[in-house]
Amino acid sequence: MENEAPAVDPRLPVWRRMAQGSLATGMPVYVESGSDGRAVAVLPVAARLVEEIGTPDEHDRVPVALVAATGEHFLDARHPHYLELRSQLEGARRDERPLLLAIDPRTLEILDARRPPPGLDYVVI
Amino acid sequence: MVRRTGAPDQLSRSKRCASRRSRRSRGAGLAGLPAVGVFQFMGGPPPPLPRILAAEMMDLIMAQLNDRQLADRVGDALMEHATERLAAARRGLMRVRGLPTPPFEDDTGPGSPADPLSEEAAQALFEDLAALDYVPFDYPKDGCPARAHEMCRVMRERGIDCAKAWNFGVTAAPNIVSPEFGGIRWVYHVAPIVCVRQADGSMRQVVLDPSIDRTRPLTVDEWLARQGGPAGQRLELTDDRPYAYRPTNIRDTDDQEGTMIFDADYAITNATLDYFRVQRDLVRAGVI
Repeated sequence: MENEAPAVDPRLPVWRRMAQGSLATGMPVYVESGSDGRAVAVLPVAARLVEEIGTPDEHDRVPVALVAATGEHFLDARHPHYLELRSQLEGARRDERPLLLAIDPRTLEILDARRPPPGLDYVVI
Repeated sequence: MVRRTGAPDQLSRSKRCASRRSRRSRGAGLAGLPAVGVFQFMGGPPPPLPRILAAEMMDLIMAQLNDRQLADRVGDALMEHATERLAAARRGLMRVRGLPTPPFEDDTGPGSPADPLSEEAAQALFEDLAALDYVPFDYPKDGCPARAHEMCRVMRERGIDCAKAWNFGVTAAPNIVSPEFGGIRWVYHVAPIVCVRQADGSMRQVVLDPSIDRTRPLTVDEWLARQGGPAGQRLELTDDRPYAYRPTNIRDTDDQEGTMIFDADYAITNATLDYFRVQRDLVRAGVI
């Protein structure tokens, strides 16, 4: 009987590339896991500056303008950590300091925001 | 309100000239640090002072001190200072308030109004740019400043003069329908422009934007129409130096004053292209 090659998760080559880049630069990555502990999303983070934070629309989307960004980014007001995320973004906007953001590449929803760890060498994009 | 006139004020002009010199100057740096890196980020916008290369500065210091060891220590201290400033600038994104330089102001080379490209040359140029596989033209959701800046870098490297077209949403966001991502709305959009000589001898500007059309350059009117404009949107043309630009008074079309970000060493551009290549590939791989 012919052996079937195991199915390879198409995300693995991209995740591997990200992990290699992260190891080289020291940049953290965003990992989201399901209730079974398996990773459901691994995303790169980028240092961005926050320009403006709006108010929720009828779909609970809170527009967030990032400096130099052309896409329309947003926070989901139903996100379990919405208040914490919003507070991080507001503080960064007030102090004009960058945050490391994890952004859903399909929707441009901001999934995570945190201050860069001390000593990290990064470029604000 | 600030109106752009035919003759920019003297200070602005001197700043522009100085910055053009700095863009085109390349030389040995201090202990291997590129000269452009040493001086480009010494504080605020490019300085309206004559540039001096690091190697020349070291010669001057040496001539004054006549002590090689002391000169080396001064050089090391300067390098440390410049490196810190450069790192701080990268961490902070230097935003500069002012008037952008009009397109092609000092340009006389191929692609400028003084020497427009033929339509065939513009098409060949467009195809070369669209083939830059490290530029994620096929992830149009964000990142057009980096794509435009890199295309301009490649054109300048080839000796082609270029500028940038910016389209801002005022009451209607620029928007496209992407085959892969569906409807996309932008706060603003930017792409390079060059001048082209048409068959009848007249000259026009065309936009090189593979994220909107993979096959050919577009006229400015076509480019705006593809984004749902021009109604409710605002077009601005500038030289190619600003990486990002946004007019302060978006509704006042007579007022070009705004906030600009420069990326003379392409650190922001490269990091942005890297980031969006990964984002694109994650979408394709079924990220979530």
